Amino acid sequence: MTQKMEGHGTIRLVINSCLNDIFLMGLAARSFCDFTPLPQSTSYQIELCIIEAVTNAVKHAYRGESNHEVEMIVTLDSGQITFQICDSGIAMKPLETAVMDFDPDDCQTIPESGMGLFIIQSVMDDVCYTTVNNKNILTMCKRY
Amino acid sequence: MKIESDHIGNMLVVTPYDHRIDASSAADFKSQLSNWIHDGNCHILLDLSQISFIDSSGLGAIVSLLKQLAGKGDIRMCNIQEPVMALFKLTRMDRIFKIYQSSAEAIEAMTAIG
Repeated sequence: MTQKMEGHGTIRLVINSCLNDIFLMGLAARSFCDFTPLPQSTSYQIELCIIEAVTNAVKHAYRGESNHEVEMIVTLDSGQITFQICDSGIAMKPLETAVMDFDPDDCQTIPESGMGLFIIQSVMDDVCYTTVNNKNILTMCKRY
Repeated sequence: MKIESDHIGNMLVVTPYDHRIDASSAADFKSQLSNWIHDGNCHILLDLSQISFIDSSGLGAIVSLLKQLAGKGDIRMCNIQEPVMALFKLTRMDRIFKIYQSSAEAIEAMTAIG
């Protein structure tokens, strides 16, 4: 059994803005979480959040175009892990609290899109979005 | 995406064999199932035994297929792995779809409906 331990440090990973490569960011994120005391179920959910955030950058910031950089900066610190997903594409609107509001008895009211931000805000402890020098940064923090 | 299908009674049992339904595969997944629905398959049992990861794109594809049925059929699911089930609960989709522990349990229940 792998011993869970605490460490400190920052790593920067970059992929091409291609849908087929997004899973790599998720796998990397889960591996970092597995190093922390977070339970495996939470590691999986964080992987999901990273996939959602990177997919959003590829699909919306870069409009599905490949050959742009999507960057993930992971910082392990005392009692928390922070992920920053960065792109240089079209900025999102300022973040609002996402809701999943639908009538379970009326399937036409169930959303088909826009669930990513809801997932991220549900799983992560802190989420913020900034644009600095044409670089969009979605910061997601999980404490343990 | 490799997807196998099998008719059991009036049901179409569909088993995707990739491990993930995400933004890179959701369109293909949706297209294949949509064709089966268009061909008149109204009662779909989605066997997710091979799927270890679904993101919101995959979830959106499943919801879209349910809407395509427009109340004239249903999509049920079985053999959902725990991480995927966690996503269903998080997004409250577990209230939308009937979920069974096993394909045998699902087939028995759906056959009883006729």
